Order: sequence, then structure tokens, then C-alpha cells
Amino acid sequence: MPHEVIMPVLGMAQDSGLLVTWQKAPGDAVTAEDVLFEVETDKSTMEVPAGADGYISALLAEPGEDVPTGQTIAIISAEKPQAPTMQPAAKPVAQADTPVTKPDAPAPRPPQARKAEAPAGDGRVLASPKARRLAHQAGLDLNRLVAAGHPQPYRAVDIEVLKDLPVAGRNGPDIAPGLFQITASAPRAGTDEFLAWMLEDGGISIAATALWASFAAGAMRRAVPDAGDLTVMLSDLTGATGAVLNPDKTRLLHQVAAPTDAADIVLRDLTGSPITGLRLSADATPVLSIASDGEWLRLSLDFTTGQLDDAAAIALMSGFAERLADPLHHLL
Amino acid sequence: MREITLSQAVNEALAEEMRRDPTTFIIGEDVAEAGTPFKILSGLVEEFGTSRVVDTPIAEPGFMGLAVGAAMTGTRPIVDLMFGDFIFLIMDQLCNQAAKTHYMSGGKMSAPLVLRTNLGATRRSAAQHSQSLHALVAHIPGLKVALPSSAYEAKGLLKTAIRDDNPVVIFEDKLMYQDKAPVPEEEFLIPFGEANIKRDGTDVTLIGTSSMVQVCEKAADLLAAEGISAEVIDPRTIVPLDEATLLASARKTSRVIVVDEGHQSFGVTAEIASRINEKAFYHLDAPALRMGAMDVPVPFSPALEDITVPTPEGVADTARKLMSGEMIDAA
Repeated sequence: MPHEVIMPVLGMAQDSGLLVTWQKAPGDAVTAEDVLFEVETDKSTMEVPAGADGYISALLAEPGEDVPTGQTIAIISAEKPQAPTMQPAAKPVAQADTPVTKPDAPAPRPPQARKAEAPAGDGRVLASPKARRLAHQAGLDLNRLVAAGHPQPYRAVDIEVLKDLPVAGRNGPDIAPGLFQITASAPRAGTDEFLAWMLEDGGISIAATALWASFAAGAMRRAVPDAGDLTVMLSDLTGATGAVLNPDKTRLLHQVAAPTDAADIVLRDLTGSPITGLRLSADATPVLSIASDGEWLRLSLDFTTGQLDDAAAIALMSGFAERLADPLHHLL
Repeated sequence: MREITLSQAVNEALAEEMRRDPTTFIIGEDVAEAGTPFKILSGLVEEFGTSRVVDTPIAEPGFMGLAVGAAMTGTRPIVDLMFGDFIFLIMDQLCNQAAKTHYMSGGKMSAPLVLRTNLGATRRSAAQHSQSLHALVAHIPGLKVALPSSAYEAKGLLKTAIRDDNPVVIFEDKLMYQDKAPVPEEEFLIPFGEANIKRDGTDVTLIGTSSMVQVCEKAADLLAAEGISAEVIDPRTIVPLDEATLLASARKTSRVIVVDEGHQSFGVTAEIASRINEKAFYHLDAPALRMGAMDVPVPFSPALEDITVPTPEGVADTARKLMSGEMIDAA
């Protein structure tokens, strides 16, 4: 039975020891009293005896290495070993059937002495059922604690820490600075009557969104005089549904399709859904949402300071709402 | 209030119920003149005679079977089983006959008997006279199981057991027979299925049975000195179990340790902890833990025997781990 030499605990509360030097080489004969290595703790450097008679069959740590206490650092065998090794941090059981490892071979790091169990590496957050319930009820994301480096597992008391964390954590969603909103209402009848008139009088059937895109571009051009070409992206809850170029300057039936990746304004149609308002993250352009509420269309414009100034935003929303209420405004 | 020993409390309960109901009788080994090895029954044979305090040969299956038959035919036997360890000898009579009489007769018959026996280690009685085997019978539907934690409970639960129309098994802790507690002189009964909150607390719930209630109370004292407020609850009967009180406490403190002197594996602690984990899951800040006796035959060596059972220090230490949020590696 080979004797395993471990990194000893030489002081109270000592987690590891710095291996200073080996006094023996692999293959050397030792007696139990022979000094085998020197170890440095925060208090002193000590010489540590081998603890068993025999031959050094393996040295498993290198001088200069900080080794957790209790970890095997040398093996002493009764028989003279065939192939004594200098094998930092390799498992002793691997010796029997593996060739001698070259001293410069990359060695796996020794396992760290663990205090609390490390979080599982699969991305799961370790938290008590109560902590999860409290976080859920408060609408808080435990991942923010992870991002803040708060040690797991989380308990109810950690939810208080979570509540006090700033919202924009390291991994939190990027909320654009200065996100503003303007809301307005317009009667639905304006749109409906105009579309019905188009159909009856001209036999032309068009979608409400085409009309709205035209109105949005017109209102925006009025609000931002030097706007140039305007691309209006159409979207709904599922994402982009299309984009049109300068719809205020083209005929309703002949709107020009444009790429959806470079819009000047997003027109989000919520009328088919029960959602009446939403503010989503990472909007790169002003978003004009239209939701239906009985006889009314509820409008909201989300924008940041970098996209529109206040006066332009108010002018845009006012112009859009006026056009919806009475489409003739579009011609003025 | 006067204080009497648990032994005297049992004696009083038996005498009062035997005076009240002439169909009751005691049967077992050394129950008459000897008064049992624990001297619990002293004086009863003098009052009730040998026809109602019946000494039997050393033949547990025989007198247990006799008692089950007597119970089915109109009497209320109170069986004295000298050591809880001997319950293995009477399993068929108890579990296959008495426990199923009411059910298998479609309610036409019942077996209103009480089996009084004991549990508890650290009496230096070695592996065959030191076991706590109440989990074995608690597993069998049709048997009620009471675990008195003091003289007061011993009297009140035994009187309720004798009046029950179906079989009840009472395990008294053999180390507690000389422990004194306040017991009213006037008559009282303790209903089954009503836990007793021995001590209010807010941080951790210690559920203890039988003598483990004392262990939990001492642990609570240790914890109180460190500012940890422990609630101590004695279920008093494990069948029926007062789940509502245990769950309410679990929801309040969000940490629970169940302490019982039976072996930890597949035992009473596992059953109670499991119910709490199932039914109070979203209120727990740590898993409900079991602390039972070590899964080894009870050693004869005093030094070894003492470390096989839960201690106040051990319970307090476990409670500290729960409080600090240390990961618990279930034993």
C-alpha cells in the first residue's frame, strides 16, 4: 500500500500551503523522519518529514505551487518504483497504465478546496424555493444576482440584495438613456370611413397599415423639415412585416418596398391584439404604436433624445393623430 | 400543579380507565405482582385482581393473539409488551389481524386494543432491547401510533387510546419513566392528531417526537443564546399526524429539522420531512431535514451508543447550518 503524502494543515484556518522546495527527487529512498519538502504558510516556513519509509514514486506538485491542504502531493512506495514521476497534480491512480508524463506536460489544475458547493456549470441558478417564489412575485430576475457576483445558492435573504441592485446590471437589458413616450387617441372611424370610401368610389382595396404608413411619413416630414427620404417599417407583435420608402409621396396602391433594416420610424400595428401599449428594449428608431380600443385608436410614440427632440415628437404625434381623425389633413 | 413521573402518569391513566370501563384489562409478561421491569404497574393487581391484570408466559405471539380475539369479541385489552424490540414477534397479530379487522369485516367488527410498549436507546441495553421501532407500525394503515413526550402526554394520550375503537400503539421512552412533569389531578384527555407547539419561534422549526422533544427544546435553548429563534413542535401522534400545524410552522420559519429516535433511513423523520418538502415547498428556504438515529444496530458500548442518537448539540449545529445557508449534503 503506497503512502500518500498530503499538504498538511500547519495553522488554524489554513486552506493551502505554498510548496517551497522538494528535498528528495523521484526514485530516492526515504525514511519516515527524512525531510521531504518545505512548505510556507502565512506564518512560517516549515520542513515536513516524509512520514513513511520507502521510495519516492511520485511528486505531484511543483515548487512554487500553492496546494490546498489535504491534497496528495507525493507518493511513497515500499518497492523501488520502475518509473518514478514528477507529475504535478496528476492523479496517482493514473500511474499504473500511463507512460511517464513529461515534466513540462500541461497539468490540470488541482481541484480547489470548496467551501460552498460551486454553482452547477450548466447555467442553472441555485436558489431555494422560497427565494425563487419571492423573486418571481417581485418580478425580479435572479440572474442579476449572478451577474453581480453574489454567491449562490440564493436564499430569501438574498432577495433583499437583489431588490437593492441597480436595474441596469452588468448583464441587464440595455435601456437607452432618456426614453420618452407620447400618447394620443384618434377615432377609428376616420380610417374606416376613408377605406370604405376608397372601396366604394374607386373600387380600391388597401390595408389600413398602408394608409397609416403614408400618414406617419407625412407627419414626420412635417415635424422634421429636412428629413429627406423616409423609410417606414411596418411591424406587429411578431416583428417586422415590411417597409416602404416615402409612402407619403407615393400613391397608396403603389408604395415602394424598402429594406427593413434602415427604417426612420417603426409603425407598430397592435390592433389585432389585446395589447394596448408596450415599451420594448433596444428600439433603434422612434416607434409609433397603434392599438384599438373600441371606437378609438390609441397611439403611442416611443423615442429617445437622440432620435427626435421634444418639439418634433409632439409635432409628429399631433400630425399623425390629426390625419387619422380626418384623412383630408394629409392633403393640406 | 403537582408533578408526577411518567411512570405514575401511565399507572394513573390505566387505573382511571379500568375503573371507568369494566371491559378493560391488562395482559402481558410480569404485569401483575412484578409490575413490569420498570415498576409502572405497581398496585394495579391489588386493586383490579388477577382476572383484569393478567400475567402471561413468555410468549408474545400467544398473548397478543389472545388480546386481538378478546378485542374483537367485546373487551378492551391493554397489552403490555415489555420491550418495543419484541414487536417483531407479534407483527402478524398486530398488523395482519388487529389493524385490518375493521376494514375486512366491512365495519362490522373492530379490535379496540391498546398496545403499550417502549422505545429509546442509551440505557446500555444493547441492540435487541434499545430499538425505536414505531415507524414499522406507523407504516401499517389501521394502526394509530402515539409517542408521549412527558408524563402529561403519557396520561392524556393513553386514556384517549383506551377509549379508541380501533387498535392504538403507544411507545413510551424507557429512559423517561422517572421524568417528572406537571399533570393535573382532574381528568383530561389529549385528542389524537393535535400537535403541541412547545415553544414559539420564527427562524427554524424543530419537530421532535417522544424524548426528542426534550432534545429539541435544549437545542432551542442553545440557539436562543445565539439569537436564533427555534420553534419546537411535538406531533404527539404520528398516526394521525397533525400536518396542518407542522406545515403552518414550516411556512412561517421556512426551515425545518425533524428529529426522531428511530433509524434515520425509511423512518418517521423521512415521512414528515417529505410531506413538508412536498406541501410547503415554495415557502422553504432550505430542504426540510431528517435527524434520526444512526443506521446501525444500537451499540452496547456506552461511548458508541451515545453518538448514535440525536443530541441537542447536533440539532443546534444542523440548525446553524440551515440558518447560514450552507449547502446541505443529505446524509
